[in-house]
Amino acid sequence: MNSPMNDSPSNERTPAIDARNVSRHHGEGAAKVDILRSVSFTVDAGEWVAVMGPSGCGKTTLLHALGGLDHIDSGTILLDGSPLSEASEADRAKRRRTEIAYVFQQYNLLSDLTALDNVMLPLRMVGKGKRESKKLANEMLDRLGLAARGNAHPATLSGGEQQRVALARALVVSPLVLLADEPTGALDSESGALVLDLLRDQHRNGQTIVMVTHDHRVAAAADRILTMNDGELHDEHRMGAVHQSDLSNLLTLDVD
Amino acid sequence: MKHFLLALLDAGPTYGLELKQQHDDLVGVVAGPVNVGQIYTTLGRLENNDLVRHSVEPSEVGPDRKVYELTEHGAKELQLWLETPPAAPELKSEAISKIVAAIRLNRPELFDLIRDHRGQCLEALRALDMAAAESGAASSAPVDALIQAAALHLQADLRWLDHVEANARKTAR
Repeated sequence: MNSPMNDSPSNERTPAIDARNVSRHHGEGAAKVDILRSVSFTVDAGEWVAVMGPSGCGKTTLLHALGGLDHIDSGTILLDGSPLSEASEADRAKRRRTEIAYVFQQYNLLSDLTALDNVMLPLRMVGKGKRESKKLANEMLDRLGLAARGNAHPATLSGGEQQRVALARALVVSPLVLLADEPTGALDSESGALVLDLLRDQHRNGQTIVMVTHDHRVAAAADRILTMNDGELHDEHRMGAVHQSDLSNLLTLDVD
Repeated sequence: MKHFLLALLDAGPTYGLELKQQHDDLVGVVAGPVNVGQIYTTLGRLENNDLVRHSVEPSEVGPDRKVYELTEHGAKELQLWLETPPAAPELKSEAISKIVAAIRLNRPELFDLIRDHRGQCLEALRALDMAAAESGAASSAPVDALIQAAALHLQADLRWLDHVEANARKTAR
């Protein structure tokens, strides 16, 4: 129970993300277009949230705002209890490197670097030494089944392998939050399923994930699914415990 | 059930309980297990129509067992079934009826219906993927085909719900 003397709810863990009345628009006056309209939601530490909605509904803008890649016009975004939206550009850049990791639909690997160098990069940027970076990057590649591909350049890797390298690069800094924008969107179904399995593994290990996707089957792997439309969050589904018996009679065959 | 049992029996003579097992292994993931009583009822009907016949196999440990097999007539019936094109596509859905009615009547229940049906479809998709993973479905072509059929139909429902909702919210604004 909370102590009545204490205003802060001490028995509740601080959410990994706490977005309050986040708004974003383009243009001014008659040309003003609202991209995000007072969006509020929280993501618990260790939770996996999927954001869905039609093209142009604002879901990618929301993801960028959460990660500090885009500014917001009003509202607050707290990461692990402290505001990102009020931080200076320099602070935001620092937190982006240590607390937030991105995976994009198009992998965004640096083509001149090997897979290993790509994964080492974020570690080097936060000041880790070369040897330690190499060790950690190799370990992460190994965990994602890419131990043999460290010296390959992105152009020689399949899409699925590139996305796994991108995932390794994102996770190697042990980020507070993994932000994934259509992580399986460019992949065939087999590679997509593999990347989804890796996200499941990360989630089981306690990784907080916010994922934008248009694929309901991918979204259904998350703990909670938010649906956006025209800059607003208007639906939320929390996935319940499921039993196979729920599937009985889903499909009826050959009824006489 | 009738033709599906004929199809299972086409692989060779077998017992009622074995037919239930074969059925459940093949379609249990999406259609649920079948009651063994239903198997025997259907076998009885098929036998009355001369589509299957049984012989009695003595057993040393338990009661004698009935072994079922296709008759010539049954094999022809299965062949006819397989070569007859399926009827026109047919969508039966309580959700579609209710949601279309709610749109027509401009009823506020529309958004609850959309939300609830979306939740159900998402849960079923997840359960399907879990069941598929457990059953190692990818290694069995017919089971994989069934799982894809169910998953793609659910995804179609979800996309339809998104479409209906986007339109309804546009209208409401």
